[in-house]
Amino acid sequence: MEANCDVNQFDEEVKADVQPELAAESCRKCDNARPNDMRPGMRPCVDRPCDGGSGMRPDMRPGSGRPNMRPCGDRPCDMRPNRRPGYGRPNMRPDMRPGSGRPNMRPCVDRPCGMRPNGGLPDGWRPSDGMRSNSVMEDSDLHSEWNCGNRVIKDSVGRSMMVGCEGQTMSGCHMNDPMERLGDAFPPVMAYVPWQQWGDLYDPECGLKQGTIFKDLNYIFCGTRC
Amino acid sequence: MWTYIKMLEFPVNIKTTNATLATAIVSQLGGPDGEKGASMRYLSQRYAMPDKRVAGVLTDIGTEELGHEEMVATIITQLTKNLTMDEIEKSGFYQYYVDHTTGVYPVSAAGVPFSAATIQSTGDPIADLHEDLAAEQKARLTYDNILRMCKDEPDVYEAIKFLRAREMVHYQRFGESLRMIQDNLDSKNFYAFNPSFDKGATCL
Amino acid sequence: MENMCKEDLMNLIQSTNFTVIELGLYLDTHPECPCGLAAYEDYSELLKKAVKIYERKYEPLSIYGVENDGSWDWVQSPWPWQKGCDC
Repeated sequence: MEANCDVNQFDEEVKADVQPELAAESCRKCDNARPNDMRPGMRPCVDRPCDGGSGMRPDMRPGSGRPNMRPCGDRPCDMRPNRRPGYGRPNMRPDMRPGSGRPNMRPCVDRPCGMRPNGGLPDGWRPSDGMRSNSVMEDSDLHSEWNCGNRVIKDSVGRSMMVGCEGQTMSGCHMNDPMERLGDAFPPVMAYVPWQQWGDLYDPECGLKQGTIFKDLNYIFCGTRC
Repeated sequence: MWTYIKMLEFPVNIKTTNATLATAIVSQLGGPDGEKGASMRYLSQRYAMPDKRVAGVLTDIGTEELGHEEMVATIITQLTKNLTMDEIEKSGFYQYYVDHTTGVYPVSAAGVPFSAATIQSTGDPIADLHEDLAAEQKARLTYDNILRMCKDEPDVYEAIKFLRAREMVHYQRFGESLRMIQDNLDSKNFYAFNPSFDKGATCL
Repeated sequence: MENMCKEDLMNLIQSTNFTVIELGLYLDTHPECPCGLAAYEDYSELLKKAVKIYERKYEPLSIYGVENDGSWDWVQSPWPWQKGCDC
C-alpha cells in the first residue's frame, strides 16, 4: 500500500497557485522598501524581496520557497484564503493529504495520519487517498522502520490505531531555501532572527534623529491610507 | 537600582496643543502595547533568565523603556497644556479630562486603565523572549498608526518616529537573545526542559 | 566643548548619550565585538567630559552631580517635561 505522496504533483500545484500578476497586485501595500533598494520599474515582492534582503534570492520563482515563508518578506504575496490544506503553513491540519506539508515530514510519525482509532477512515476520505483501514493488529505486522507495512500508533490518551501506510520523504521541495542549505543548523519549531553584523554607523546627531546609529537597522515607515 | 538622568532620551518641545492626538498617544503610555507595559514586562522577566547576557538585555531595554514612558508622558502633557474648555469639550479628550484634568494617567486610547494583565513573565526563557518579540512589533505598529495621524505636526512626528525606530532595534536584540538561549540548549530538542526551572532532562 | 553654549552642549550630550546607550545594547548581545567595544570607549569618554563641563557650568544632570554652591540646584532647574526646556 502506498501513500499518495506525489512529490512532483505537489510542486506543480504550488507553482500553479501563484501567478506573478497576482503576486504583484497583492503586494501593492508592501512598500517598506528602503529608498535605495528599488530601481525604476522594479516590482516589489516580485523583482526583489520586500524585506531589503534577508538572504532570499531576488530571482526565486513565485511559489518556490519553504512553507513558513513570510508573504512580501521572503516570497511573492500569494496567500489566498482558499488554499488547500497543507499548503504553505507549518501547522498542518491532521487531515492533510499524506505527503503534503513541510519537507521531510514523516506521515504517522511527525503528524497524525488522520486515522480514527481502531482503523476507520476519517470522514470524506477515499481509499485512493492512500490509506486503508485494518482492524487486525498482530505483532508480526509491526515493523521498526517508520515507513514500511502496517504500524500501530497511539494517541495522547493511549488509544491504539492500526494504520497501513507508507510515507515518502519529500525531497526537492523548498531545497533552495538558504536555511535548508545549512543542514541541521536551524531545526524546525523555533524562530531565528539573524545576527546583526557590525556595519556602517550614522554620526551621533543623525543617529539620534533616525532613532538608531546603525544604518542596517533603520527601516522607515512610509505608509499612506490614500 | 536606578539613577535618574534629568534629560529626555530625545528632545520633546511641542508648541501647539492637540487634544485628539493626546487621546491617541496616551495609548503608548498606558495601553496594551505601551511603554509602561514594556518596561514592566522586561524588568520582571529578567529575574528568571539563566543567561547573564539576556538578563542584561532585558535590564537595559527595560530601563530604556522607562525613559520612553517619560517621553510619551511629556508629549501628552505638552499637547494638553493650554487646551481651552472648547477644545476639550469638542474632542474625545473630555472623557479623560473629567477624571484626570490635564494630569498624566496611564490609560489606553479607549479609556482602559493600564493593567499588568497585558503582560506576562512566564519564567520560561523561550516563551518570554517570543512575547518580547511580539511586544516590540505591537508597539511598532501602534507607532505606525500614530505617525499617520501626526504628519502635520513635525514636533510630535519626530519624537514618535524616534520611538518607533527604537522598537525595531529592540526586536533585533530580543531576537539575538533568543539565539543565545538556543545556543545554550540542545538543538535536538529545545523544549526538553526549562533551563530556568529544571535541573536536567532525562530524554536528552 | 568648554566654550559651547548651553543648548549646543545639551545637544551634544543627548546625541552622545544615545550613541552610548545604543552601543551598550549592541554589546549586550555582541560582548566580544572589538569594533563595538572601541566605539563604546570613544563615545563614553566624550560623554563623560561633556557631562562634567555641563554640570559645572549649568546644572546637575543626576542627583550625584549636584555642585555644592550653597543651594540645592537639583530642584531649581526645569524638569525635562517642562516646556521651553531642551533637556
